[in-house]
Amino acid sequence: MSLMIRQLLRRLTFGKAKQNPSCAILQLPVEMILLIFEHLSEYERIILAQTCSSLRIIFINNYKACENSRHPLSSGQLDIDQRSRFIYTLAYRQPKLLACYWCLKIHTIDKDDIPSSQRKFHCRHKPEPPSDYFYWFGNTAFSIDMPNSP
Amino acid sequence: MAEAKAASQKIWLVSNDNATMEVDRCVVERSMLLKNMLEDLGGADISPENPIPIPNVNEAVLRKVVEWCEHHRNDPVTAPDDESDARKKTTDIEEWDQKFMQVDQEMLFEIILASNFLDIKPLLDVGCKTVANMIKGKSPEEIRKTFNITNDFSAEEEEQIRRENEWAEDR
Repeated sequence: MSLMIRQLLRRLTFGKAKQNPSCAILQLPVEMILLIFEHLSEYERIILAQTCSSLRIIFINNYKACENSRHPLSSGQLDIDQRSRFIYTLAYRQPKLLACYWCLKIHTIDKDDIPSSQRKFHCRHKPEPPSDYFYWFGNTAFSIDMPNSP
Repeated sequence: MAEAKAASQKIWLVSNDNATMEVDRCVVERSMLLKNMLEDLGGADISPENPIPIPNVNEAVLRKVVEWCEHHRNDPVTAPDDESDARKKTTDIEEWDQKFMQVDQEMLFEIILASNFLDIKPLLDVGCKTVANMIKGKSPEEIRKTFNITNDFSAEEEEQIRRENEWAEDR
């Protein structure tokens, strides 16, 4: 019993980091925060809701009940266009990550995969991309290396 | 004739830190709250000695808001019907407003609060668009850095978010 209470206390006091009280955006009333959400697209709302628990609660409570009840509440519910923007935004400016629009995943870049040129990249999730297919590395588009046909 | 007189009529506002400022009535009327208040009052009793108190808004913020209203004094008043979803979604901000919003974050959020209190919809819109533009193109970690947000997710919440994003993981 005392162990349970201790665990509960631990979760209440240590389980969560305290929010910064001087964080100006979180001082805004909920209606103002929702106005900011309104100016974002679906994938940007989901990214914003992944920053802290207050914004996540505000986002979910509003958009699960909004007039357009089909608003995606998690990244997995986004359509293909919004998914590609989502992975692009997460991989952007990350030197070790690469957004692959071919398989819609974020690849971690293995240096052995890229001996001399960043262009030598093969998507191992979905083979044989079209020859005009390109992928994004940081903010630059590269064409993908076609594997030699057998 | 009467209308021209009303437009050049002066109104005095006082901030919550006791700074009085003289503003043209047509500029003050960008605020729907003050416009309605002046209509109810008839504007007769307002003088430098008897200004309209603006609680919750300090001098620096009130001067900023008045500066915006001065610049936009001749803008057509948009009907509520004009606020279509398409207009709301765009985050284009005209150049003068962009420069006007180049302030520190504390001031930016104060302007948003003041424009909401004073019911100046176009200014509230510009403020929220400015914040939205600071969010666009950033990852959660970059957004946290920009706004000084602490990641306060519990281990369970972190795990839930990781599972939600699992489709994007390279395995």
